[in-house]
Amino acid sequence: MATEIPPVRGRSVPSEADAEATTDGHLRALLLEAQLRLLESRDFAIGAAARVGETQTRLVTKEIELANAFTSNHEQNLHIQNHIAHIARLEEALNGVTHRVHELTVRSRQLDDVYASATWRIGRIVLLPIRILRRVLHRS
Amino acid sequence: MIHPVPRAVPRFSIITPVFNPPSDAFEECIESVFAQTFSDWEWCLVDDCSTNSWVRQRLLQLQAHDTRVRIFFRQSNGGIVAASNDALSLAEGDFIALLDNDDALHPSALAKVNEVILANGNVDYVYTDEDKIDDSGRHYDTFLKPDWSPQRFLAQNYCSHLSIIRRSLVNSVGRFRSGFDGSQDYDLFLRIIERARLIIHIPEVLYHWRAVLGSTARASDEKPYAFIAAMKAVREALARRSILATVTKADPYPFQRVVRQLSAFPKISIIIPTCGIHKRVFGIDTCLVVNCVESILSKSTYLNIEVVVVIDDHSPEDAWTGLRAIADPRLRLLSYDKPFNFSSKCNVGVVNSDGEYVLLLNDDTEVIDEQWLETLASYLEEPDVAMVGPMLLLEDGRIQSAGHSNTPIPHNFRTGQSIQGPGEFGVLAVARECSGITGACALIRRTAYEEVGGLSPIFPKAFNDVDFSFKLLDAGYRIMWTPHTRLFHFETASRPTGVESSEVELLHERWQRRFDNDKYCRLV
Repeated sequence: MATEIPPVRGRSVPSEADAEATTDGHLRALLLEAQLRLLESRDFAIGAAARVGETQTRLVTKEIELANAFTSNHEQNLHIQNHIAHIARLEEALNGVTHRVHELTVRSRQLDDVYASATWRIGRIVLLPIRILRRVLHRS
Repeated sequence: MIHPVPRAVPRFSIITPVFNPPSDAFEECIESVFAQTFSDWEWCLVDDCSTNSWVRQRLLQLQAHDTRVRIFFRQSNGGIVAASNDALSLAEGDFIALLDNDDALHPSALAKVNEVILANGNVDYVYTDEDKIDDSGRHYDTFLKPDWSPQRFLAQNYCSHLSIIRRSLVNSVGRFRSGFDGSQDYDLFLRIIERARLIIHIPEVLYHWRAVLGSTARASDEKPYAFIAAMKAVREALARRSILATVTKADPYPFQRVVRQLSAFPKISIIIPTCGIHKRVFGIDTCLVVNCVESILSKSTYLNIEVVVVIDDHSPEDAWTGLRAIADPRLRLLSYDKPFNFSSKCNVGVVNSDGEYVLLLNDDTEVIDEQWLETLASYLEEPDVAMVGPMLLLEDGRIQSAGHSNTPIPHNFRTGQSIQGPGEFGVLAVARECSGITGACALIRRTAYEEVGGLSPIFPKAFNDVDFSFKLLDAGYRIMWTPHTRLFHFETASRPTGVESSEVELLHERWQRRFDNDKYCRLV
């Protein structure tokens, strides 16, 4: 026949053994209850330590991710700064070119003014025979 | 006066006995050595009287080509052991790397091993993952090995290729021994690990094993003499370690089964939480717990047991009646009047028992082998083993659980697969360390159970066994799984089905770092 023993928690199973419950039996029940609580306490402590371990692991993982992000950001910033510097250089070059274009435009206008002046036209007329003579000489 | 510059000792001495290798394969082997990205090596080749004349000429060419190549021609054919030992005599490097004359190294093999050596000054033995190459050069059978797994190593030489060993240790254990031809490396490794200060596994394929006709790479039973030598090597290893055990073949597979003799027959308390439900089993309506208890008491040859059934007080009357009718003084009933909590029920059962070992058993299990308890208990003979579990089978004979795997997340390994076959690289045929076993059947050392606080009540339904396994691993214990005893597990009948999301979250909160990071099982 199976033996039925007093439970740690919950009601007792009716049996002859329970009918003969003694102080020893009561103490034993208390002891078992204490053992159960000890188990649960250990589990709680170990579980808490596991959580801490997990948190630390995640922290390390996040730190690595953060460090990687910083590195990546730094590289991107560097890239952006380089890009900005490159743009500045391009803008400077553009300004230089624009200035040169402006200068050339001014010179071109000045030249046009010279060609349009009476002095230039008189000079051309005065020098016309020499130009004709030079062409003839070149042909021969 | 000019002093001769002393020859610097290389980091690695590659050891290669040569005997009539296939020319193409040998050329690939040569190419792989010279393609190493790490250059501080010497290559010690010993020709064991090859009958193919081109071998001698090719070896001489190699020697002339590179001063790191050292050649010795044996005068008579002495076999693999003699040739390997001659190659060892040529070696001067800090570490020995074993390379067969038709295999190939990954170009980074020596570089990666060197990194590990630099990072771990006391490492004595390094092994890596491997794959095989067929005649057409196709790579297959990638063996993702477990980290150091001493129990598994007694069952099979899973380290094999590539193995790199500190040379001084090789010399101190007596090099290769005759009488172990075909398993001479296994015999050497078995002696090495007994003295190695640190063993490291590099989880990368750094060796390509040529599968040619007649080689062990093609089929592990190609060389029956090698298996006999392996059994002999394991027997001697156990004798050296003063372990009383028998070594047999893990029939029908060519692996060793080591059965330790029990030094004592400690009392085993079998804890069965139940709510007394019925299920059709093999076509018959069955009260599961009664069936389970009857199978234990009628079949088990291990006598020093007690069976503690933790039964819900609202369980069907026929469960109570059936259990009370079992006339065996080893059976005790314990009523439980709280809401369902599998962990608490197990803990209540444990504190109400007094066996040196505790066996958690679901009520929907059924014993198959008479010696199941002897088999399980034999693994707890090793003091750092805290828990062991058997192969669990579904009602139809398929696998229910072959231990746990955490790759990618914790689960029962190979659930639903056929029991036929040894599994990948013998994983279903050898006793081995694992990262956890199911609580459906787990033999546990009581001291370890108490040390880690038993099953956690915060996991009332699921994952309590996963959590418990992790607690044991964190405490430094090993967990074993064995295919050498089997039970039926008519799954999920013994508890409410479904998984609470809160339990999933809790498991993540405690152990996510162990997910997809299983050192013993990298197979998906």
